[in-house]
Amino acid sequence: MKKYKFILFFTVFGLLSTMSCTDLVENVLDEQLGADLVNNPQNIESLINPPYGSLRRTIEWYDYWALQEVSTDEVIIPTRGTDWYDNGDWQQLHLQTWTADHGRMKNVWDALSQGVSRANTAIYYIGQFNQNATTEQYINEARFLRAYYMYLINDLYGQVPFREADEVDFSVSPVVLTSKEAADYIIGELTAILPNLKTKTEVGSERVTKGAAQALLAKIYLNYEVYGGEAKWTEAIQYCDELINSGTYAVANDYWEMFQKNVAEHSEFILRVPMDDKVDMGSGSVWVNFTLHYSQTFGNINSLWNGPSTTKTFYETFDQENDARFYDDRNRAELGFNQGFMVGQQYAINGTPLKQRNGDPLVFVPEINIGSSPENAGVRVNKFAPNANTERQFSSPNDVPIMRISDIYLIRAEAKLRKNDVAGALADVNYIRGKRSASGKTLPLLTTITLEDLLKERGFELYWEGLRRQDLVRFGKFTSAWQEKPATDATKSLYPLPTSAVDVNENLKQNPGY
Amino acid sequence: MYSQKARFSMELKNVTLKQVFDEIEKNSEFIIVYSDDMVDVSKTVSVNADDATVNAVLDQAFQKTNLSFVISDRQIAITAKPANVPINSVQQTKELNGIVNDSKGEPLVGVTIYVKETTIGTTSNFEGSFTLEVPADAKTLVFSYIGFQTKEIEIGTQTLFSIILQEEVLELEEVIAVGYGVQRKIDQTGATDRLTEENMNKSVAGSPIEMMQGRVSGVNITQNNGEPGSGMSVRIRGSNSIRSGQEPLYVVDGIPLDNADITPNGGTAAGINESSNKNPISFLNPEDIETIDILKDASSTAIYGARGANGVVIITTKKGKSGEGTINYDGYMGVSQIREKMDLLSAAEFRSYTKPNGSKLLDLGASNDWQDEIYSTGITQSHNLAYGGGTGKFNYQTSLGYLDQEGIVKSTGIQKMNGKIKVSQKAFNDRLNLVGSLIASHVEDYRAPISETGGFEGDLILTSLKLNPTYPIFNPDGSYYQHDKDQRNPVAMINLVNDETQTDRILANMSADFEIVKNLTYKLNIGLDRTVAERRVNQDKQLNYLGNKGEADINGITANNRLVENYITYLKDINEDHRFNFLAGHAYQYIKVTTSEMNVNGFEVDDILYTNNLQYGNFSAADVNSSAYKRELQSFFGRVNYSFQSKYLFTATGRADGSSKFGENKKYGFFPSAAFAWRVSEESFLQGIEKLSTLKVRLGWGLTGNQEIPDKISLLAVGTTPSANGYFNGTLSPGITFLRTPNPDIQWETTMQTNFGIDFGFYDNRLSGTIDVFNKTTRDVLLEVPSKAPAAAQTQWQNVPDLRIINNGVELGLNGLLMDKKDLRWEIGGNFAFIKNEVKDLPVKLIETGNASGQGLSGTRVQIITNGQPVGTFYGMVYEGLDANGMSIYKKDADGVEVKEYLGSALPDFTYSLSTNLKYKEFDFSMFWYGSAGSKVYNNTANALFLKGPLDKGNNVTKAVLESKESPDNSNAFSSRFIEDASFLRLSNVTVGYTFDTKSIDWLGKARIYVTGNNLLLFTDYTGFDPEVSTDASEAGVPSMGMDYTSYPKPRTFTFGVNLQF
Repeated sequence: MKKYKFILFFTVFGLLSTMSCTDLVENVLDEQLGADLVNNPQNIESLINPPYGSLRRTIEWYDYWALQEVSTDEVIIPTRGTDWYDNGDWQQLHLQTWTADHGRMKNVWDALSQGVSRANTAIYYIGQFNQNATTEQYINEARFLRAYYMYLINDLYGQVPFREADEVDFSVSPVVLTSKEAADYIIGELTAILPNLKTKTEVGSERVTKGAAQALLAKIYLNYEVYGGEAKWTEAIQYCDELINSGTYAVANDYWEMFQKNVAEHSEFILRVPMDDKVDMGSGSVWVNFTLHYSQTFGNINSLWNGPSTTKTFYETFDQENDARFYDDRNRAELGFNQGFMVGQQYAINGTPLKQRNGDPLVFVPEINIGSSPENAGVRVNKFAPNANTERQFSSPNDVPIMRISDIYLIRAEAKLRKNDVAGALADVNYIRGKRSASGKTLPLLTTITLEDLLKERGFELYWEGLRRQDLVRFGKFTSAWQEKPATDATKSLYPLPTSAVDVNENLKQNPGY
Repeated sequence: MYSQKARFSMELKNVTLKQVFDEIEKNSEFIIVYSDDMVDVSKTVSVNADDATVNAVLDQAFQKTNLSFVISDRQIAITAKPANVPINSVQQTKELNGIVNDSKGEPLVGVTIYVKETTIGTTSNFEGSFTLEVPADAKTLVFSYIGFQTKEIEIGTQTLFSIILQEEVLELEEVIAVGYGVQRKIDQTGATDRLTEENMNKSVAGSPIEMMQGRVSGVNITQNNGEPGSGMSVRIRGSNSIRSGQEPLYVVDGIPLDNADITPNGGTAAGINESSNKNPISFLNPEDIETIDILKDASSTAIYGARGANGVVIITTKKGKSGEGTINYDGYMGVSQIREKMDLLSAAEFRSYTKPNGSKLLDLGASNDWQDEIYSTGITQSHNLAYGGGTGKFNYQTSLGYLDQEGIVKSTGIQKMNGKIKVSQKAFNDRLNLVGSLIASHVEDYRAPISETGGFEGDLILTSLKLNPTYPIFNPDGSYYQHDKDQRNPVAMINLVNDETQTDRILANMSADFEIVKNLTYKLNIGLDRTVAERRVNQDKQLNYLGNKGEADINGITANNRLVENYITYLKDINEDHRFNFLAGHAYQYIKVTTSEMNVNGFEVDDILYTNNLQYGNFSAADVNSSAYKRELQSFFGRVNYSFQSKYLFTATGRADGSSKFGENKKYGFFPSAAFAWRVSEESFLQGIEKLSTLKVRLGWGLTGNQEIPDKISLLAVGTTPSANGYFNGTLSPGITFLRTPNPDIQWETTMQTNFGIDFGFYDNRLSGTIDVFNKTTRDVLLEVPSKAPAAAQTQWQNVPDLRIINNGVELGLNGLLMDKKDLRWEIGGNFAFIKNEVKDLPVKLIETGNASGQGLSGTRVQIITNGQPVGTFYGMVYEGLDANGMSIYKKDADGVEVKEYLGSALPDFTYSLSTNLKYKEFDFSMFWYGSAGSKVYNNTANALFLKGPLDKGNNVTKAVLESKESPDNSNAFSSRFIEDASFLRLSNVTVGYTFDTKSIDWLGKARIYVTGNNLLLFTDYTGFDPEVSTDASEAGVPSMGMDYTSYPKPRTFTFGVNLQF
């Protein structure tokens, strides 16, 4: 009897024990852990997508764009009473009093580093497949994108941590390239892949093309004096010539055409970031929400922030009368406001004058004070036309060009001018100006040109397109005084490395002055 | 009479008297007392009874003995028959008379009185008096009675005795739960506290956690806000980590619960983010709880290994007691109101404001107090019926509870239905003991659009604070007046949002104890904890701020937690001096949690709730999401208790814990502990000191872990994310990229704790207390550190080896029985704790958290974790007042640059509580105060709303703002201006009760009525609703503390209740 009891007992015990034995392997249920994914040649499209996806971060207004624009005379985000102080971030950015702990330093560093890393991942895994024309094309595209993100990092921070695509032990601190080393490396990469890249005619400007590589080379050579300490104007001119002479690109006769909603391909575009407000892109630029006043609602867009404006200094450089680039009215019936610079009384779609929240009329005035401004202070700027009937009011309906042919003309003009080819420079600048007359008006052509004029022209053509800081640095004006901003130390031409990056990579040495 | 009710069936042949007594005690509530000197219990007897009374059983048993018995209620005193004193004795005798009373003067019935070292004795009768014939040379009389201290009296020439017996202080016999068993409190070596019904916070306590609040030293409990059933943050002995996952382990009837959040997400809108989480163990019915044991030091918690670092809370539910069934009914009705509204401008005061340019604010003519529109009186009712009893072999306890609690914000509340059954059955000659329990609960939460954080557009509370009081509620056509999407109508928000969560939870548990051989017991424990929660949120299309024609959210969570434990215990005594208790076991736990989410907008219908038929909306464009994870834990554990002469107590434990979450190189962790206690008062050299009744010194050390690390972080992840997708030719295609850098070495955080404690009692323990001093150091702190860019992912999880989080503390608990008379009993108690927290060797300069909410505060993080400072330190500019223009002045350095400084921590320096209980005749009175000192709170509400600028723009503000000299152009930059002292003292609870005399009513065992007031008084300098608040403003998983942003205010509640026993 007793024996049976124990046999029974141990049987039950044994049965129960088996249901409780485990090797503790973690089974992930809601993610593809993915070793198979990246090793499957079927997924080649999926591998090249991520580095392209990071381009969207570079046009996000509070990310890379903010570091190239808010620190210049083009954009000012004033504190409006209890609005927009935001930890002092925007004041510091505009007045150039930032430190290594400024929130944007880390965000932009991380975003651009992610672009480099995604490109590396694509290069590495596509490189493991059996090679063919497609793998070669995609690897070249990824190499361009890696070079592009490294160029952006170098432009902002003046040094670039670097890993080869097959350096996959991420616990090792990567080597750090100096500004010159980085520029040379990027030039080397671009020239290596250039012959094998597709053309815009073949793949469109939404993909990396030969033209994009030429444009990037032109930009790096134009800035090489900043990056590498010596002038390379001839090389810059050479790549501009190649682009302009290719016949693939044309300066628009209607300046505002390329900034309309739902415009995809355009003759001006060399490389664009495709955006669509019908699709969740994970990030996307908010071109109107952040600048319009709270009352300027239209269509489905009702969340407006009344933030960034432009400085009076910059606003007043314009030939407001004759320059088509200053103002455009074609969407007023749908939006209630114009494209370009918004100044004076603002109206609703039905034409009634709008009011501020306290009941005063909504009149935008150029006078602005960064520390304390009323709601209506500052001339507003809106370059890209929004979609009034959008379903995602924070997604852009516009494809955004990050390189376009007018910029190339101005790069060539500048390089020529710096080589004292005044005639050549005038020809290029006047070619652009010739296309930019306001309707019924004529924008006067220039008869003489100085570097000052050229910088102004770049402002007229490319304002709020994320290029201003680089231009001001190259022209030696970035740390000069304007409006409220006092002259700052020359070390401000480079941003500080974010504290979080210096904390973990001992090869990074903080930039001077921080 | 109990002795008539209790019935026995037994057939015992040639057993010892002891066995008969044991049988009686086991199957009834009788306690049998006798003196070994007088009663020889080894004598063999036989009993054959069938449904017989105890008198019949004992009469049979005593047939051939010289013994007799006296029954007094549930006590049976056995004495030798006086008749058996040899009659032929030649000795001279004398007669002694006397009376025996307790300390209150009540006669004691059935006290055993005998002459020392003889069998001559008797028992006291119903008047407490006795008569005893003793030999003339008898020297000493002994008085012994269960529950009282035995007294010896020299007889001398005295013949009349008036004896007072002192009650034995029950605390000495208290048992405490220690994890996988119980232990006598006197044998305890660690720092633990036990709460029983006596000292738990009661009335309108929706959850067991509230019942602990303020009651245990070193346990800091903050109710996140005043919403019914709102989340709690419980920190036992400080903050050990800089991540979330700092909640203690809850063990309910032997089942360790999973702390996963089981609140489904709600609906959101611009300016209204996720609402706060709900309390994880609010599913338990407070009335079902018998005891709560709080294990604080590592020597106590190490038996829970990788889950012990945050302390352990062991909750034991009520079980049936042998005897006839009793029915208990407990019910109450409560009325809750807002304690104090914000002192906002009335419509008239608002109109009185003139802007600097001379103009007036927008005035639409109405006069509304928006706070009055959203707050109302909340009615709470609770009914609880419990029934329990048993035969000794089979015991049962069942209960049914119902709670309907209305919040003080209209349309908010909680309804809870609980059922519980617990049965136990003994078999195989009592060698097998089976216990089964089932706790089921159904909770319905009704919520308003109130969120933890949120934008300037505002949730309900924010709207009620800032909205222009001259706006009307309705348009002339009867529709809601909605001025703007950021100036919402709070009445519309209440009426047009319907937010209901239904949560069903079952906690089932079955355990079997089997005594294999004497003193060797095997125990099997199987548990299941399953939760299904569904939340449905409807936001009506009439709400103008939605912009998407109404929105419906249906979100669900299911959580499964399964447990199998096998363990053996072995007791071994080596002569009287050495006692061993061994425990060894294995545990396996499996946890799986799945979630699902659906969001549809664009509804055209008016008359039904959208969630009831999503097809009416733009369902083809629904946003859907789901997730799932599962976890396994496997553990091997053991414990040895050794006691030498009951004076020197040793405990050693060890647990090897493995978790599927840990990296493949670190699957198992080992967590040892050791403790020693010395019962100094048992030493002979202290026996002479009468005033000292207890003195025990404890010393403990142990390592525990915190395995509440995120899932999946040890593994590489490659996958898709929207930002990696490609968009070419107008088509979206997935992008595959690295989402996470793997770390195969990832493991638990380790906390080492040493504890030194003293337990003391004076004057028969009428004054007793405990002092504990501890040091708690956490290492291997888990941090999400930046990767070395460019890397697969931007951050990586690491255990940072050098980083330490240190908590040093002193805890003191005191209890005094100041008066103990027949009609008056007065007790007073207090708890005090100092805890100092410090972070050392952080590998990065600082970690930011505490995201401020509100306009102009984007990117503002007010709290940091940095070296040399406690967790929860506020950091920012130092406000020095307003200048002549009404602009803020901040402290500047020599270069004129505004400096940032440490502005204090949200952790208190010192917490305390005071309680008192007074019984006078049939009345009882209790009062409970608690408070904290030295902590800071960030008044985010004031920073976002209560300044001149918002008033100038047409928002309502507090009266102080209207009077201030601040300029409307002044910015609301975060600074010390908005860091306030959070010290407070709260009168948490006052109860007055009256117990009826039910002796004459035979169907009624007990009847008591009471009135309680909760949250009656609050003394604080804080200008917000309540300084005891915790809005979740975490940044990248680093929790914030002491943040207050438009929190749901805590109500003041008055309750009337009744306790009945049948």
